[in-house]
Amino acid sequence: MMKHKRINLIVAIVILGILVAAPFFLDDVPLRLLTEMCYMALFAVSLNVLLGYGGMLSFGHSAYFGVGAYTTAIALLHIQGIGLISAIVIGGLSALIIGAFFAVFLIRVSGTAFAMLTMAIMQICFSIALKWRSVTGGDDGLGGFEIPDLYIPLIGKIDMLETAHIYWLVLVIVVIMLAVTWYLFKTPMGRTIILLRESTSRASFLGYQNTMTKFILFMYTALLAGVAGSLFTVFQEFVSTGSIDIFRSIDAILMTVIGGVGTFFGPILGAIVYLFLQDLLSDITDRWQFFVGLLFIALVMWYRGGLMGIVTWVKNRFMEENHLKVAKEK
Amino acid sequence: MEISFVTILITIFHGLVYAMLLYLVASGLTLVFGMMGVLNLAHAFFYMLGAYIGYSIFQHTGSFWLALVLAPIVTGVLGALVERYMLRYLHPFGHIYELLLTIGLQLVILEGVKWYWGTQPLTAPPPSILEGSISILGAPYPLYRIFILLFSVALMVALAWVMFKTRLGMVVRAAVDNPNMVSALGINTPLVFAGVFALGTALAAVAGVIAGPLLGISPGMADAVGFDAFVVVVTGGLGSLLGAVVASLLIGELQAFGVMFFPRFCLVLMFILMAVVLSIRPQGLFGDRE
Repeated sequence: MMKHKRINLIVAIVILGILVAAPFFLDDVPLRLLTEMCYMALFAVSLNVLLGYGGMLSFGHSAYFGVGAYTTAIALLHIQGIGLISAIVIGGLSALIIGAFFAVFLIRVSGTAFAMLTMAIMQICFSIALKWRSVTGGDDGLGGFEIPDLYIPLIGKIDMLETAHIYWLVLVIVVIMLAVTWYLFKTPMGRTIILLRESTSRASFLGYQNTMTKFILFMYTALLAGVAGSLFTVFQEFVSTGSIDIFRSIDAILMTVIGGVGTFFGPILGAIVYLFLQDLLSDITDRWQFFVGLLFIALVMWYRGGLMGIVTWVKNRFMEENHLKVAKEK
Repeated sequence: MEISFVTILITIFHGLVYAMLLYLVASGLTLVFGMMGVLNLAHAFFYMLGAYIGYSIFQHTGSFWLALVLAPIVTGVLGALVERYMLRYLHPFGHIYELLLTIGLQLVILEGVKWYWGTQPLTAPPPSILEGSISILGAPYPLYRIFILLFSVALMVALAWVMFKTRLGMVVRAAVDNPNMVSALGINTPLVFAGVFALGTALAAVAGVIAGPLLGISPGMADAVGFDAFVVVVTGGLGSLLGAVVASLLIGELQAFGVMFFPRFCLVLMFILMAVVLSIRPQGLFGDRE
């Protein structure tokens, strides 16, 4: 057991090391893809916190992503001399506030009604983004803002003109948010969320306040999605209704299911594979989503563990063989 | 803009026509949900598929009426296959996987349609017998819209007759209430499920074929009607046909008047309505369960 933990730690450090060093051996185009993978992974994880751990399917996640994206864009556009980190924090927090507001309604329903209500919420936010032209730019979207330089104490000023710098910024923020999420599900609070998924009534018999747990859960996923949206704005230097429409929600659902619902690394793997497939297949055919759809249906039908299920299976096989070897040697 | 009595009357008629189209799509959605507890997110995409298949049949045979008969049959068979080989298999795994499957179907149908028919909007002319217009209080009104109105009402009455006056309808209504009990009584409920799913998709395809000449045929048509149909079904009550009628009229008129008088708030208003109904009365206006 200890040995496994050490192997996992080593693997994690190696992967992180490769990610940090990526700008030194990757060209601009693959680096941009990698940046996109980072914030979309955060977005997918945010959806999975709700779907995989909380057992609630949300179609409205793009609402929080979009609120984060738009708020950051508006802040960068209208607030003179705003710092980069402040703009991202404002994006995340506004998504959290919107999440808290909608949570008031969402805690009342469950099952299909929940899914429908999240869809309605997403559509409300989308319609506002589309119609409130003076603030959101409507169809045209918002652009023309400059990404301010980043000031870090002791290191100094870092400009955001190079892809590598943006990539590092996105990577650091995403890794921090993911680490916090990872830790959350080790704490009693996180375990309570899983208890909610398994049996809501048992949770309330045991004296847990389901309403409060759900409330915190909704706000937390909104925060994660909002930060992902903010990073999207910083990276794209442009935001349009594409960041808030249903297809962004569906992207996250596809990523999560392809990677593996309810596993921590599933959505991350899913985001990587999905965006990689998009990059690879969209050169060959415009209709690449047709194949993604087929893959998705196949996974839902026959392999609900997703790609992470395959990884776990391979790992178990490998580990078991190691065990056998150790046993034989003894 | 001058708002006269005739303008309002025409708007009411526009709303009625759209409401009937919505009803055709929503009735299948609500029946399937009532029976199987499956919210078919791909339902509106069957509507679109029906429109495209109808278009192809029209291109090959030149007959609108043949398209109106054949396209729903083809779409209905596809729907039955989806129910038989996919949804039924996934049912034991819970409603989340059923919802996820319908998302996958959405994607495959949409992309398949774009692939085969292209992304350009297509136009299908109305049959020559329905061209021209009649006069309502002196204002010309297209005959084709009147046809949609009458045809949909006829279908609605026929559906109501089957559901409430025949033995088959009795079985379906009983299965909506309690599928386990019905199958314990020796009725082949899986067959009924497949049949209702096929009927639902076929009705959506009918709506697609008749909507083609009116609204145009494009890959975006599913989204436009799909969201409206969800609002209808959720507001009216999942599983309730009466609710679907009332909510269709409500949303149809809201859309018609909204587009004319307050285009900026119409879309938001509809979803606020849906959100309010869902959070205060999750079973909908006429539904009797969640």
